[in-house]
Amino acid sequence: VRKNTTTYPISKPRDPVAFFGALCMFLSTVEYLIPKPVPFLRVGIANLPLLLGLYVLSPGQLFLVALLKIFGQALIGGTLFSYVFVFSALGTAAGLSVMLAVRYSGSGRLSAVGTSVLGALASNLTQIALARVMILGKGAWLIAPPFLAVGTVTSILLGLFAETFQRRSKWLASVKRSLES
Amino acid sequence: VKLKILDFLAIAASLAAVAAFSIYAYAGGGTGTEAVIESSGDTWIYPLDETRTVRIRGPLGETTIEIGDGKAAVSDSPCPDKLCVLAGPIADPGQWIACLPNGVMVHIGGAGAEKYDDISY
Repeated sequence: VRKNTTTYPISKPRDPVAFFGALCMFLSTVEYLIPKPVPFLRVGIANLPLLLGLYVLSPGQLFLVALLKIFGQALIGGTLFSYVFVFSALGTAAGLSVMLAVRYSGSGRLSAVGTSVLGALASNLTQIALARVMILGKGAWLIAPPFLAVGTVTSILLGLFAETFQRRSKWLASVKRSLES
Repeated sequence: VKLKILDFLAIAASLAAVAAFSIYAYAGGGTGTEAVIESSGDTWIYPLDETRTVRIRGPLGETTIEIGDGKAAVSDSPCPDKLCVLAGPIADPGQWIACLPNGVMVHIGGAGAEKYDDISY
């Protein structure tokens, strides 16, 4: 039996996809509890596991986490059979695709902040386009400026958190090691 | 946290999108003279100075919009959170109320003089 010489505990989630998905669901609940002055202005904390997952999970695993996030969020918000679900699903897919592209093409030249901002921008633009086509008509353009402005601010904050967490967290490092071994 | 040049470019791109949409959305504003209601591809326009109650059918039920006295407000909607009702009345061009669950959007439109001479950021 090989002795474990590391001084900090090893975290080895049996299924990292399920774990990150559960984290999305938990954060969706927290997001749901935050009072909103205007509809669909969101902090986006439920995307944090996706952002952190960029550093430990494979693209395939990330898309599975995104799928869990979309359904988890819909269950918590009660939006599974509504327009909002389509918004959430396509917005998340667009955001994750852009973040993956940024992570693998611009690797090292962008921190989690830039990655988060571009992901949020892609997600929000997708949702505005959907709003334009599906329900709100030209009125969607009026929502766009505050929606994108809030998204810029919250995505910077989430990016700053993710960058710090990604560098310092021994837990995340141990998850990464357990997946590599 | 140390940000890299591309991080700042990403933030700049995001802010540019905000600016572009702001100019597009708010540039052609006049005095608020009409309530524009949009729902599932249809548009209704009512003058703000005539009192009337409009009921719009959406996927969840009827959204009730009260127009009159230069203002428009959503007085009832079958959505769970009632944010559109809590938004209160709107009167100025560019202001909007949206009931996303029921797919109804109300905004103030109107032709005529600009509300502001100029806006700078």
